[in-house]
Amino acid sequence: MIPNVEYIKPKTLEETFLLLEKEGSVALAGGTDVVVNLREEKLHPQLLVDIKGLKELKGIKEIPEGIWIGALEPVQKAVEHPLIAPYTALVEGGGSIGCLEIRYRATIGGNICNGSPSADSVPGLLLYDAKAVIASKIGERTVSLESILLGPGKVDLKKGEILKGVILPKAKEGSKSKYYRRTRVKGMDLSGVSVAVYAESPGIEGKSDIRIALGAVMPTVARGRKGEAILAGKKLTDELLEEAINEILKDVNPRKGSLRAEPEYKKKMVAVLIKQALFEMNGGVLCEA
Amino acid sequence: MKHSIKVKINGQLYLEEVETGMTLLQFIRDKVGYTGTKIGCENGECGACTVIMDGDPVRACLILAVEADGADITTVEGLSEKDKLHPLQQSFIETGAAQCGFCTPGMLMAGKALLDKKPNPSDKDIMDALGGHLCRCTGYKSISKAVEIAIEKTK
Repeated sequence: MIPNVEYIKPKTLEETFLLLEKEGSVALAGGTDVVVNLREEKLHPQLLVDIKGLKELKGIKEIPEGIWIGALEPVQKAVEHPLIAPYTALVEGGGSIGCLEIRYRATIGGNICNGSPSADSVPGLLLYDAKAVIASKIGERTVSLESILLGPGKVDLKKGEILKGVILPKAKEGSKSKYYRRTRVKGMDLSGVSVAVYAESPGIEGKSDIRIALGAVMPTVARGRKGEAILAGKKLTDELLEEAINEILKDVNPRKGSLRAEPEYKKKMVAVLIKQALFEMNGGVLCEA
Repeated sequence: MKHSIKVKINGQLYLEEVETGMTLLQFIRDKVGYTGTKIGCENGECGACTVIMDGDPVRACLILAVEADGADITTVEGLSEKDKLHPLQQSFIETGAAQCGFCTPGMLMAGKALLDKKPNPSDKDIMDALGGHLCRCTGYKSISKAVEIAIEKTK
């Protein structure tokens, strides 16, 4: 049973800020997590604020800083959008969420704000240094998306703040990315481990700008920056890649008792999937001989 | 707290008062009386409650009725025209894609949304459309076959 709590669908941002400041208020977007959590009594709001009437949170368009994705854009609309096509890891990651019917309701903003360490659209966003635009009655702040991911179910949104959308910096000409995940079953499942890798051509053969983001292996989705630093500006070799992966794995400490995968498996798969992504993007060779 | 909502279902407008906790699934079945939309897992996992809302296939168990205010919804009852079955319904019969029948309305609505959006879908499109639907009888082959036949018929 879903409780008969108060429900309001504001039409303006100003109204929304005031409603979200209220004790016990919860923002409702696509509802694919919120409605499930209400039913399972994991969420006990006094007020549901349905934000789907806010036009400021919609749209996918080119802006001077890159590509704007409104927080309310359904995942499916985003992954099918021509402006998002160059961001392969985002298209692949977003496209792996739930099933088609879920993706038509679930929103990009919701996938972020739910704060799941295994959020499938987030690694692709982090690879491209996406920014989060957060609004409240005192104004807007634009911060790195990675910086608002605090822990499982926790994002850095204060009472009365709302995620308006994300900004993806322009994808560089010739850049590539891939997203891989491992699940228990082929059908609908949450990621047990996921890896997104970005490479700039001729990054793989020549000087590397390789970026790596990991899901479901740390308290939040996160970049493997220490490993990236090892690879930066150097020619990719097997030895260098091993070194970078080992450095990344030092920070990978998956919790025990996960329903989806054991820590040892997750760590092994991080290495395998990083290599698989580079192999794929480099046309079937991992490193130049 | 009651909310007045206005929802179009299978072409007819319904004006009703609903509580926040009522799902679109409950609304369609209990308020409007269309019981073709099935209650399966009520958790978004099985696909039995799939309806088409403003052109998109969605899970009626994951949407509150109050959220559907202003929406245009098609349920399985809206597929046929008078006595004439929709090509999908016809092909489901021909291939034996309906056995116990419980998943069938959801499968049909997923197929309908696919045909509406992509008249020439790829194999992957078909798998994507049906991928979130559980069937415990058929083994799925007859269902995807039925959708393929309907695609050919409606081309």
